[in-house]
Amino acid sequence: MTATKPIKKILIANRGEIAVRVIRAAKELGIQTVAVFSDADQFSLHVKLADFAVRLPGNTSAETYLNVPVLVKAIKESQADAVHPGYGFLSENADFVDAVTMAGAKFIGPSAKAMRLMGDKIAAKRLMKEHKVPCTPGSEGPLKDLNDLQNHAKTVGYPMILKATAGGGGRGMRVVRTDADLAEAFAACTREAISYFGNPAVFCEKYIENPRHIEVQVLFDEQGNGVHLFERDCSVQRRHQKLIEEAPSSYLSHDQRMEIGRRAVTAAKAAGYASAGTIEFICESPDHVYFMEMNTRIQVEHTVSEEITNIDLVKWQIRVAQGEVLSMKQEDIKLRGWAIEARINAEDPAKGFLPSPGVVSSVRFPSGPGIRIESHLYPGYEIPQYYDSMVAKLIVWGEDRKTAMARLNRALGEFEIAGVPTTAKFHEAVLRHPIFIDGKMTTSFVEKEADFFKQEFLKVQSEDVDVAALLAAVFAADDQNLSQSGTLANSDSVGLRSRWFDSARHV
Amino acid sequence: MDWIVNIGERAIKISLPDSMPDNIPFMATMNEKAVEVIWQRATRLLKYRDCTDQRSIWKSVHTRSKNVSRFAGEPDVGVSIEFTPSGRFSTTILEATVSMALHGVHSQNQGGAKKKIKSLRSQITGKVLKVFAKPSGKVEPGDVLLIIEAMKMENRILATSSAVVDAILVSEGSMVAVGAELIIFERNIQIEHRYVQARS
Repeated sequence: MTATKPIKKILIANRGEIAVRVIRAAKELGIQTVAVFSDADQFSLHVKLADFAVRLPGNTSAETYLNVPVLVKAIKESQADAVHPGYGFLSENADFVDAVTMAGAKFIGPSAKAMRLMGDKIAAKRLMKEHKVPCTPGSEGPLKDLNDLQNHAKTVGYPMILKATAGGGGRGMRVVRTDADLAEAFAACTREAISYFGNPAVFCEKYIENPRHIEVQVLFDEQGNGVHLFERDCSVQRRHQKLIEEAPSSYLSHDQRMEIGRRAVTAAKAAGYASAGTIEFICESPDHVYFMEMNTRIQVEHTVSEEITNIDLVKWQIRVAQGEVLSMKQEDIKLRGWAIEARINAEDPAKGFLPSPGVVSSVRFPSGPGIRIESHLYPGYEIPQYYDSMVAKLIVWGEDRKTAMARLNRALGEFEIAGVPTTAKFHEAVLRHPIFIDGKMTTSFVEKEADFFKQEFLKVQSEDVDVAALLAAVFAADDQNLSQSGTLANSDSVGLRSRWFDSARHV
Repeated sequence: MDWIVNIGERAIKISLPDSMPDNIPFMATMNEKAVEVIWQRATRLLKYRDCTDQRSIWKSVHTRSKNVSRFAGEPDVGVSIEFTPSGRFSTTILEATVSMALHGVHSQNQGGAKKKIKSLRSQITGKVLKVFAKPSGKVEPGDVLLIIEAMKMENRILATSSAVVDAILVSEGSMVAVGAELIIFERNIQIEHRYVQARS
């Protein structure tokens, strides 16, 4: 057994709430932290909470949080002995893992080798099949030619999806529904594969309409011991962006849950995986659950798994990186209650989820029993326009799903965030929708029920209209008084509130 | 001072004192009903009660968020509020246009997204990626006028009626803030902000 190597100082190569989350875990373990920040993030909360901070000049992701040479320089200058990548940005970039290791720091996550293996869609699928993890029926590898594809079409059936082997982010994909469209779709997909990814390889698999998105959280140490922390259901999503996640999933029975978990652990072990990871499945029915991909990082929604198991995943990532052995076995992990996470994004769901960067003039988080907030927001914080729109995660725990839903509704009502529209109102509408209440949502739920949400957003009950008018008049009068008295800082009249307004005038 | 609040099809008159005290009760009228109001700015708490009924108790209105948009030269103020009326268990979303009721002047706009405008203002802060409209060019319904990128998403702004462009005030690469004027038309035009969002 390898000896543990204590980490003294972690550089967090990320921003926003996940940087704050990692800093908090490190502090509780007595480890110092180094934040990195772009110019737009100089006043962000993670910079305030970290012990040290290194500026990454510029604003765009490419100049800053995706800039490997600049980050390596920051690691060396700050003498950090470990790097936590968070999620997004460079978290699944194996070349970054190599660069961190070359710089003499420990990458908190899996090895570059395991990351590369799981990043290759075909290799990952092959490995899963070897370990009896069910995969979507389709071609085992790249298609040789149209003839090869036509043969697969006979066994797989329609609808079918063509995907670029090197693809990602929704690009280089084509759904085919009839024989007649096969040739053209194959040609188009190959063309896209070449132009986007420089690799013409295309494979095909069965296209599952209206699936559920279920994923299993796994945790491994570097000695090869691994456990799963049950599953999460992330079917409430819009354009492949998850909006609500819950654990466990009401879709699976206890036996199905334990079976899918056992297979996920087997697969991750086969990949030589260490640290926290997620195996995503696409579900046609509870008995037809297929491997989709593995995310080799901590995920946004790790919190719900933490809530139902009482295991701190981020702390365990750090402990595993120090060489520690998992202290728990699978039978020690008990599923308790139900947890739901609602992503609060700076987007206006009433205007087609319009991104809404700006100044948060005031914010007050809900509290009380079963409430957890992960956020980098504070009053006066300016949400930059350059990065992701997620500004807070509201996580609730309840002894069962019904209690958790009622608690989420209560917490959303207490949540105050002024200055920018957010997805909070969307979540409340979801909680009123019978499909969600019954736990019957699929990944097309949000798009299919668009009319329901549209109506929900602008529905003032007739007996509330008078008081609504009173409130609107009070806000308008208050805003006018403030702008006349010159107290602009408190006013949120458009055009008076943002540094971006000034930059817009001069650029 | 009297205010006219347009919510959907309804126009409701609200009278407030000229100088509205913070945290001290004041008298107001709400759709011709006399009410006593306490307004606490710091917490955005509004309490009100019926003046005509001696036994009436205070009702609290909890506000989650508010956004007031006011543009120079435009008489109407746009107010969007998310609030929970007293006794309810869910938040209500409100979009209203508020104008001061001046003698002999009536509000022009009925509120909502469909009003016709002469100048197109940005509803988001971001970077102008593409400008398709041309100076003196004619635009037809469905034409994409420009694309603005914000938070890794591309947002297309479409014309929903035909018009002639008078002036374009931004160019590709310009940064724009909410409320910044983008395009001026020769006459009023209806605009749709269709947020076709490709992750960029």
